Amino acid sequence: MEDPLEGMIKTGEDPLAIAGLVCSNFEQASQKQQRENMSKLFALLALSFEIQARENNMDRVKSQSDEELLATFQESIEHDQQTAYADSENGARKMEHRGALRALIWGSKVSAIQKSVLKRYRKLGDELLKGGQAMHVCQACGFIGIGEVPPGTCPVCKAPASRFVAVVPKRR
Amino acid sequence: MFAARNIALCTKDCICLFICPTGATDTENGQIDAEKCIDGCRLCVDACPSHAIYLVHQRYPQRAYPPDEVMEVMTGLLARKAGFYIRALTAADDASHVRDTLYRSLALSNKVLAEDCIRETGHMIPEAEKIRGLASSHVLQNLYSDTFEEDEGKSVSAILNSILEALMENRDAVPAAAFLCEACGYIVLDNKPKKCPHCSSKSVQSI
Repeated sequence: MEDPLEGMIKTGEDPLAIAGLVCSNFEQASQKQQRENMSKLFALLALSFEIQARENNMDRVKSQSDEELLATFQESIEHDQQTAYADSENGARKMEHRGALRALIWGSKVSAIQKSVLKRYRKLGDELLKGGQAMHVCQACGFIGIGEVPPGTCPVCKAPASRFVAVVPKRR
Repeated sequence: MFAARNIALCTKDCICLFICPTGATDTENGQIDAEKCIDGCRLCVDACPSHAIYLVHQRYPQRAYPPDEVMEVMTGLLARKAGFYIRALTAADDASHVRDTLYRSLALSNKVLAEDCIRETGHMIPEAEKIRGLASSHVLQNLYSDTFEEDEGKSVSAILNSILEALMENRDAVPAAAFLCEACGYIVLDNKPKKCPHCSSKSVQSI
């Protein structure tokens, strides 16, 4: 049977983005396996596909106003909350695949946080971030926090602060 | 397997330097010399008072694939997160500073979610059987040549072959001379071009 991921790359909506993410996943895995040259090769493929994917999406994204784009992002999260994440309690538990269950539980919580940040931005605009504040993204689970420093421990996955990346607003 | 040091935990007590039979633990860059390390010796691992040294395995087991229903849910989810990530990343290119921060954060967050789903669909590590399938099916080469017809996917094939050879021998890939155009994503192997052969940009980086 064909690998569904391969099928998604062949016939899905965002094959370049998915190809890039498959490669970036292995960039990180081989890095942790202490295979630096292999990691660099995966990184090269990942970045190449990412650049191609961005170019491919340029027209679609630029044709939408920010408000339209933010609305589609919010709808996308709500769709997943009503489908894949809503099923997680029953679905993955029944299937007894605890790894998938973990990914769905974390994903569900992180998506709720994404939606909360999105909604707050739609309401507050630039006031969302006070002077000195940045957004901090957990590299283990994707949680987004706002503050001058990352949380000591990720509220979703319990990773330490060292696992956070700061996304800092550029100065005007 | 060989020993590796987690620099974040290392408190420089240096007992690993005292105990190592080959001197592999004493290097100028803080990382243990894997070539000199004796397979499975683990004297340094056990001697370190800060538990800063661990063993790196070179062989990994094949795991059973998740059931079909799990594959379906996780694949569908990862496709959606991939779309969200790439559109947020594309939007970040010229947004105002807080909005740019939001877009970049959403992109990064969804990238992490998608990668997690990728791992839970049987693609946890490069050794997984599915990767050999992915490489031999030419799906990545074909995708690349959709953008860069002139290359016919050859550069992607060469890179994947190098990776596959290394995986079959349970080792790292050989160092490669490879270059990427930051403007269009075109890959050049062996010799660094002065400008991108595809789009003529001068922003060509080495890996």
